[in-house]
Amino acid sequence: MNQTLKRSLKLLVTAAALILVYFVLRHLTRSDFQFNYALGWLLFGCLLFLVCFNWRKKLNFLPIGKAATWAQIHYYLGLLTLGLMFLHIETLWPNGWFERLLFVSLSISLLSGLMGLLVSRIYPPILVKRGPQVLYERIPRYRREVRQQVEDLLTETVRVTKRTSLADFYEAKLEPFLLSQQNFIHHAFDSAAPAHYWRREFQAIRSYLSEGEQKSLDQIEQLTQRKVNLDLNASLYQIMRYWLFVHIPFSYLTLFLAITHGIQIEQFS
Amino acid sequence: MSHEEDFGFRNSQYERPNQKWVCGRQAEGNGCNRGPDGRGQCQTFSECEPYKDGDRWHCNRPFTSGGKCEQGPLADGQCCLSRPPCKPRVSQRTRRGRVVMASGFLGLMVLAALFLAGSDNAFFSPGPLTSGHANIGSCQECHGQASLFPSDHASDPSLLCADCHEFSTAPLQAHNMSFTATAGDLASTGTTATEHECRSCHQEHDGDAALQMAKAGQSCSGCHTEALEFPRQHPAFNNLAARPVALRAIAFDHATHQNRHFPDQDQATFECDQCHEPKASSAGDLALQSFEQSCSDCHQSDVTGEFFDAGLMLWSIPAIDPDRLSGTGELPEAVYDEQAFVSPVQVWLLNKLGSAPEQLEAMVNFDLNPLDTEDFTASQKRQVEYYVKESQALLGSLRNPNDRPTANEPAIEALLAQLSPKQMQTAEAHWFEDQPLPDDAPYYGDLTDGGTFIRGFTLRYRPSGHADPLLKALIEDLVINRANANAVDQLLLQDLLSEEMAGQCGRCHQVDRQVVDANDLWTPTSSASPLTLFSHRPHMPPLADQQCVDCHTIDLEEPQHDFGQMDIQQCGDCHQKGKVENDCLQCHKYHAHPKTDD
Repeated sequence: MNQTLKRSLKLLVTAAALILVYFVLRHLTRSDFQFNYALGWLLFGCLLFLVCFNWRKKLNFLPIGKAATWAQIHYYLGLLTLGLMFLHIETLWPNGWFERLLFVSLSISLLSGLMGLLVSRIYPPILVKRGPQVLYERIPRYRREVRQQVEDLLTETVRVTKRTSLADFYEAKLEPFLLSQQNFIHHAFDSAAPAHYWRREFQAIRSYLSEGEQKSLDQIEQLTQRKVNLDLNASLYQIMRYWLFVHIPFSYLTLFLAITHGIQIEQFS
Repeated sequence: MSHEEDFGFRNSQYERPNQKWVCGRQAEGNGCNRGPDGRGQCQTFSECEPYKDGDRWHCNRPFTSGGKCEQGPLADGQCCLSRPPCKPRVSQRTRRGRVVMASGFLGLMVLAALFLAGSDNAFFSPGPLTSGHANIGSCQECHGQASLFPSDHASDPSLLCADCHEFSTAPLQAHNMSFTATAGDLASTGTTATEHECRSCHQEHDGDAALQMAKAGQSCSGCHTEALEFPRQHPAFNNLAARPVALRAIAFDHATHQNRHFPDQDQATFECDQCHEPKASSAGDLALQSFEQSCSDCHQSDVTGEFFDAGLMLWSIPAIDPDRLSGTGELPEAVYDEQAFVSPVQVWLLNKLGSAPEQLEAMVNFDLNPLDTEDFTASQKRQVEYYVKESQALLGSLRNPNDRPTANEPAIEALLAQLSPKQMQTAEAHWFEDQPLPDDAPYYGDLTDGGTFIRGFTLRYRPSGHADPLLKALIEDLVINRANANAVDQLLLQDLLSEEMAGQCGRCHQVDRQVVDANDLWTPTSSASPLTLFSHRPHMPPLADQQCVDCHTIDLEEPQHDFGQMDIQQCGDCHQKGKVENDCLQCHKYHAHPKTDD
């Protein structure tokens, strides 16, 4: 069974679970209020379990199942929670300000989770395809090494050829690119535009260079393409890591608001 | 594997992404191998930390930083390549934790501020109230003070509604109907409970849409778990549009009128709109035209006929043998010739003004015949003596304008209004002082608007005609309070509805039906069931291509009904999926009894 079929089956099971929950709760309850009340507690239970995934990662010494299994449950339970949320609120926009805040917080949490799920499925194959892969923490050092190698190469070329065309090109265009991470948006959408851009730039300057300089240019072009790849790695890693800066705070905020909401319901309804 | 992926002592630095702090130069690609300490302090001040082997210091700079240096350590063991300290940075993991904590704290503070700032707690309100509740200023007015321990209202929230919205019957009973049901009864009707919370259908905080009935199918099917799609699964109609004549407010038999009475009338036809006004009704239902418009042509004589001029006896001086009953005083000789009956109205008034029914028992049980005390027991004699004394005291009170009894009940007020001081003074002078009636004393023939007149040793009331206010008030009072009626009440009601009573109200108005208020008593209702809601208006021609008799067929075969039973398919022809709406609330209502504030 291939991966796509497996995922399709899991999605079908999730949808079936949502339908089953609806009909079972409708059967067990006698009114809309009771239905929503029961659904609210079920939704809260789902939220709690989803947040537990974060705690599971911190308590990895406990024998409570493999993290991969937890991750799978987390993904599909998140999708189920999205469906339960709309069943619970019965509308696209709640009436009360507090409920709206809770709705927005939960929506951001679920949507950011969905985005995280998508990027964790889409980006790794891109990194493999566009290789080589690097560790995120090492990228600044590699970027520095690339710049250092280009500068060493230029120094040697100027010394040997007594010409500064290549150094001028470096100073005008290449140095700003090598100094820091570039083209985040392009890389986020797996665009080859940065690589093509530098290829065209190197092609354009090549006819103005001497033979010795052209040999250096070939090496600089290779190093530049490596920098492009480092930027791609950095951009994709950043997206794969920084979505959690939205997902986790909003998940905890949602849990906190849901507890407040539950107290409200228990007290006032 | 690319060279970037190489791991090893000589090829790669030791990464510490899970630690709280990372080297401040890591972002520049020049991080140290050792990294900051646990408190975020840089602890690398040179390229290496030389080690001593024997009496010599040796360089131990990592391979990743270039390996052993050429110069080697200084004589005192210090590294020759000093490194300025960095400013360590928190790791990405730590930053994420701080964002979580900060956002949680911020959220808590914002919520606390909003909770404390808004006295009306508008932020925490789940939505706008209905316009009917718009004047409610704060949550506490309905919900009470929030507490960690549930209040009575929190445990039974429907009591909140019942605090203001009082129903004439049990508010939390299903359909507001007082009934007891066994599990078997519930199962037979497909229901699951006898109690129902208001919020099962009415959910507040959703604006004016909130108090509308919830989606019909869902609300009803909450209890009525059996599928009831109309008309396919709906139970068969029971007496719909064919209520037995005996259960109607007015004993009007359509079949008899159409087939027996009207053919006797010259040129007269029996048409529905002679009595019913469907289009003129504000409620959209069948309004009955007045007695004068519909019935008086034939039935006026029933009202003002044989017994009308005799009137209703309000007061009487029955003959009582003074030798056999002590303390009753002397009565005029003529009383013994008159042989007047005891007045049920008078006995009822004594009861209403304070006398216990037991003290008046003899006046009820002896069928109101002239009092012959010969066969009385000692107890009954005491009751007659009591009646005479109380009657004399009340008569004295009634003739004195400054000492007249008062009452809050409309029926007693209407009765006392007829027993005016002047009339009672005249009656007393006539009865006990043998004075003739004055020339201006009312004569029954003159009392076309209703009023009292004296005849012999009785004071009588001549009704004004159909729907006389006094008779109406007395009957309404007695019927509506029938559940608590005593023997005196029952006696008067029986008397007022007898065929020998002036007006003969009981001949047409069947007040022995189960009624809950005055409107149900006199006005015909269109539905046999309190849960059925039907409007004739949308079904009337020319809006629909229908005639009354299409549904209401005269049935001469059924002695208890004048109309034939309706078949469910008569409604189902239109009310079905894909045609006219067929949900429960099209023909049913939840509340069997209205709120008292309606």
